[in-house]
Amino acid sequence: MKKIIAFVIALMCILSLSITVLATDSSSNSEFVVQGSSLNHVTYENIVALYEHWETNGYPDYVGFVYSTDGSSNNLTVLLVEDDGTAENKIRSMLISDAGLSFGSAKYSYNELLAIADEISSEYLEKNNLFYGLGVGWGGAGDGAPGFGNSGKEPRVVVGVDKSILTEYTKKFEKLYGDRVVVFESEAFVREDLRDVTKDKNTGLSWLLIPMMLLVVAGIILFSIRTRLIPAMQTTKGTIITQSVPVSRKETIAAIKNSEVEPSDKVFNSILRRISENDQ
Amino acid sequence: MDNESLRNKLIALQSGDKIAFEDIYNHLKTPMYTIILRITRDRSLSEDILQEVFFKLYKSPPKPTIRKPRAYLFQMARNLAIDHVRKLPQYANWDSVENTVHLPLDDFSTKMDIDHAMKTLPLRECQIVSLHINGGLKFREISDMMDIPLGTVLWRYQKAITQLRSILSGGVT
Repeated sequence: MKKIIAFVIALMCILSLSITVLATDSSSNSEFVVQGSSLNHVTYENIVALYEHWETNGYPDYVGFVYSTDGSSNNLTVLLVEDDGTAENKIRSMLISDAGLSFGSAKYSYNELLAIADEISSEYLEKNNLFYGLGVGWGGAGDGAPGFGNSGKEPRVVVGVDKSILTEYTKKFEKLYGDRVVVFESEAFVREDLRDVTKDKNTGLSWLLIPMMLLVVAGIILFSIRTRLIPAMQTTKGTIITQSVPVSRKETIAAIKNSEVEPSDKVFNSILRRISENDQ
Repeated sequence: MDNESLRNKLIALQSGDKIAFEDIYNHLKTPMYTIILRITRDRSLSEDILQEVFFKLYKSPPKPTIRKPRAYLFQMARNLAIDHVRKLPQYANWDSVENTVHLPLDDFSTKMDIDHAMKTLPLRECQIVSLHINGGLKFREISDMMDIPLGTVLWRYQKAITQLRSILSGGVT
């Protein structure tokens, strides 16, 4: 019975980790929004509401990080990048009440770190099974501070790798990204002892998997509905036919990719002609 | 075609292999032409430049020891495009040109297509976006090519994508 309980707990941990990874990937892929200057008159009840807006739609580039000042969800500290007071005033002007709002400074923009995390994800995490984790946030600098930087509160791109490649990638990422990336020794999500339990009890508990998988699938569907965005219909000249709807970052990138233009066929023939003239 | 396959094709090209040359052309013509076009905004001029890039490539292919042939070839195309554009009177001052935009960004309610949206980007950001998405180059390679810090490249890229998203969404994001 104990083994069964242990397995269920382990399974739930694994599934919750999967969901966390999914959420991390999705956020790094799809949501980087800055409120356009013409839209900055939009106001929010307080910093929590603004934070929720950023979490949903993406952060402006001048924000380095947001964290809870005292562990509660009411008091938040916003770290700003190279701010001379302009960004702070801008944020305050977006709020009906600035109660619970504090400011600090950060070296790097959260968006910049997300972009690096995105690159590491596609270049390394997806290709090397000795990369176990990736995220942007606090990872502990090892000196008691939760995060990084002078304040110990700044985020970095935190990469978890296997011990065997730790030194190699610490050096490599240091060279590529400076102190934006911190590499830690990590372990794979599924440990050997969990695998053994799974192997022993898998068939008897497969019924448990069904509702859990359904929950996961429902979560994925809900998530995709939330982020699935339909581009407005328009003419080739850009005239709107339907109302504007948000276009995701992924769709924007796909649109750029799809907008590639082919040169006419005569170009290659001209090159060949020039080559043959040159050869003569 | 990754850097390794491209390198093999370049080795074959050094021995005068025209099929390898055609393979390289077919693989790179579209992204390269797109990037050149984003710089020049002129189809006919862009085709001339593309022609020149590949003629030069055939005449003197890079040495096989070159580490990143893909980035090298895109850099060659970019340099030629900039050289051509600089000759035009309105582009005499390249530094200011890289900051100029071809369409004003003053109406978020106007829905635009991606080609129009790209024209609202400063040329420097337009190049970063195009080199990364169309050219498939890494941010590090773009940073080396354009001689600007990696952080700046990433920053500008994010800003550009954000701006494009906002425009494509008609300002609703």
